[in-house]
Amino acid sequence: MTNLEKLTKVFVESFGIDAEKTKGLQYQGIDQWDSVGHMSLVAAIEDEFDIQLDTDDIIDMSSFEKAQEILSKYDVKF
Amino acid sequence: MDLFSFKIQDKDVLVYRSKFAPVNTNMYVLITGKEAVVFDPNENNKLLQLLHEKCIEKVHILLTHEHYDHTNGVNWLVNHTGADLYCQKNCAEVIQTKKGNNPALIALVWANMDKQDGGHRYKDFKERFVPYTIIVDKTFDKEDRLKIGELEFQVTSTPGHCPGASCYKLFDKMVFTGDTLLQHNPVILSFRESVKDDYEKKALPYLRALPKDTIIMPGHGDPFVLKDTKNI
Repeated sequence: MTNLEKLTKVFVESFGIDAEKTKGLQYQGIDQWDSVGHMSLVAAIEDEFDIQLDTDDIIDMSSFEKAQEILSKYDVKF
Repeated sequence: MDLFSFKIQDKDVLVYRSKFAPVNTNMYVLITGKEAVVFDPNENNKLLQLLHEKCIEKVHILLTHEHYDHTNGVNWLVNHTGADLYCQKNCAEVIQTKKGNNPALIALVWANMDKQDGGHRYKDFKERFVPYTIIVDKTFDKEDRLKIGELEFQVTSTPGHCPGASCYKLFDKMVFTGDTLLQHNPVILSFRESVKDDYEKKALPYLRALPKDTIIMPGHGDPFVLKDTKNI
């Protein structure tokens, strides 16, 4: 599974959405991605990629695409 | 601090309340003789002033669960008063680690507020936050009884919102529920550590068995009578 597929899977499982809806998805763009949902998403990403996100990055992770950009800083290649 | 006054079993019960600003988390304080019980402490110098005015000699901290907004004032209060700390064992396991006291959700709330009004709460918070652990003095598993001065609590583990969630029933009349029951908002079961099945099989039956005239002291929002919520 590629890292993009892994990240998509995390979003799908965290928010209970279809994979097609992840593209362009933004924080607070759906009901499930509220502040509590964001914390669950972050925990799932940390588990999936075996990393610990800095608080600044947790706060900056405002979209599916931004998540890829941030993960790149942790040597997760897309 | 707000003051709520209740008459329970011919006893006058005074409950002081202050709120942790970002998400209005309630800290409750009860005085009994020279002892004080503090639920879910947050840093508030008015609490120290109150304890001083009441000539309190011993402070007991009780936690309703392990989330940061309910525990962030524990070490501050312990350092100022030598308080002891009591909570459910799963709660203790979490807060005894630095990772368990992760303030990311509150940081996010601060940051969102700043985006709206140009404030600098997150920056200030980040500059002063130092990762920490909390030492717990006594834990319980499923049920327990506590007697502190004239106050008698029946303590029950009510997992669901999180594994260490607990309710403290005072004199069979008043229950401190933390986030297990709020008046207007449904319990949040979407945290990664939330277990909906636990809530439905353990917490909800406990809440539904309470008399409808029970006074609920929730983790957020004002006290209310059980019959006045639709969330159970």
